[in-house]
Amino acid sequence: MGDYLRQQGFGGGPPSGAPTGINPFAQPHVPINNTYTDLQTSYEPYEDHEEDGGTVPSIPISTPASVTIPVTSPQHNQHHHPPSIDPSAASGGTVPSITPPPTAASSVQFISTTAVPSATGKIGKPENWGANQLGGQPQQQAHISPQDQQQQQQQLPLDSDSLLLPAPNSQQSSSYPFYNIRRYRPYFDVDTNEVLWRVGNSFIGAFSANFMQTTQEKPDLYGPFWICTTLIFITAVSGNFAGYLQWRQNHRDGADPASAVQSQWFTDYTKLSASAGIFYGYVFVVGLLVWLVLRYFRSDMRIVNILCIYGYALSIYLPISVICIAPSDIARWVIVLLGTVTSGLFLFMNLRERIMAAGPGKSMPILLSVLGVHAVVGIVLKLYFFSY
Amino acid sequence: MLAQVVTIGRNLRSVLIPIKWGEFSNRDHALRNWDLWGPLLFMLLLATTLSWGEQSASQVFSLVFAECGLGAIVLTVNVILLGGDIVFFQALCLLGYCLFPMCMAAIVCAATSNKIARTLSLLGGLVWASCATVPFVGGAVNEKRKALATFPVVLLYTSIGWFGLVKSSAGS
Repeated sequence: MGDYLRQQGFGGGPPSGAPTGINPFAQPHVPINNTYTDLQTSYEPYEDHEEDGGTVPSIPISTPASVTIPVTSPQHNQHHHPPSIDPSAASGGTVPSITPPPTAASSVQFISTTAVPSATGKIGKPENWGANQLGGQPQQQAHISPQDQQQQQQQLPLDSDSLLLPAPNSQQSSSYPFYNIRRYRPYFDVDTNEVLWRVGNSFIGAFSANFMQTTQEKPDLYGPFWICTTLIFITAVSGNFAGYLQWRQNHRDGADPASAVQSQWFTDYTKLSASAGIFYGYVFVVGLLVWLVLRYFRSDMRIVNILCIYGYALSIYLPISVICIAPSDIARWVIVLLGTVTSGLFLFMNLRERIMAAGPGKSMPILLSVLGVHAVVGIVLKLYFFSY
Repeated sequence: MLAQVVTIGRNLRSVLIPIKWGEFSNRDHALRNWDLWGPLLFMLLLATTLSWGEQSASQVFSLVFAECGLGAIVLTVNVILLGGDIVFFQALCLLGYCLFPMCMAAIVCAATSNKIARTLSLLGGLVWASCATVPFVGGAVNEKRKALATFPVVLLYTSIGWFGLVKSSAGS
């Protein structure tokens, strides 16, 4: 390999500026010249150089005064100073000896590392690397040492990406047709902890309105959809359970055949479709309307952001549904109003900057109508669902 | 016809009893010959059982049937959207087969109105169905999104379980 390096022009002279070649030595165990003759230590030869039977930086065969010490100069770290290769090593051409910079005479530092000194650039044919290389790579790889090959393979995707057919990945999902589900993957690009954070933020977020900023780049539709679905289920379950408790109380208190209490409890399934309509309608239809109004005022808000925030704003009704099983009507009103105010404030604070940026004159009516619609929905929820 | 029944039985066994032995050693290939007869059969069985003796039986039947069918489709779409790479019909088939424990629990619910028996059988069916589905669905997505993919599955089975729990007894 030393021959090859010299052919490439790496032999000869100290490097002026960092050479762009790849340092063939994975470990900075380098033989040095007889500046350090008085120091002699043992070292371990490379384990991974197999070509010449461990000649790099092997035992000083024919240089009587050279010793081999792993050396690094104190002033330079190994990333900036690949050692120069001195072709004038006395060993028969296969052992390039390294001359350290002459200033490093004071101390010798022993370092032990397997870190590859970083290098950029390629060995080989640099000019048309990557150009229609789909079939052309194998013959070039024969010239390249394993380390270079690895680095080039890491760099290859950057070059050949524009030439290969773009495989649709998460960044290029718009290349799918509209009927392919994968086209909509960017709208579901969230992790569990992010979803949990967004839900929690909608509870307490009226005070620090950072929801919109945080979800600006990555709004998700997972939250809105599944929160609505869970809400439908939970309101049905809680409503029926509270009604059942009520019925059982009435049934026990007055076992009066003339009363309106039926003899057996029947689960009410009719509210499921209504609740689906209300929840999905509020998030998607009202969200669409708000987005249209904002577009009218030439805001650049994306509809996904609005749907995202409306969906997460409804998440506070999840615990409210469960709490409203408690039989007191006053408590139910208080809790529902509290939840409505919290989520309304959440919506208000997060939409405020965007709406004000859209149309300064008309921002107040828009904001007030957003709040008003939310309040109406809250009251409707109370009257229809939570009054068991 | 008999071949279909055998296929149903074989798929059922491989999905619901995840014991690796013999030809069922690899769960990924367990449902390679997916079929939709099994899921259809179980959905019908479930819907019929849960609407037996109800006051508004047809409403319950349509609710359960639509929920199972749409739920399976939506769950599969959910996994794909979260980045998982699954074959659409294979996942549909798997979700349909995992309704079988809920079918059995629903039969118990139709047979008795004892709340404790119902709860126990429903819980058992829920745990069994979830243990069959969650590894498949959770393994198809990124590790950090596992809960996002499995939560809707558990929600679906819980809602079916609720249908069974609040079912009014037959003969009333």
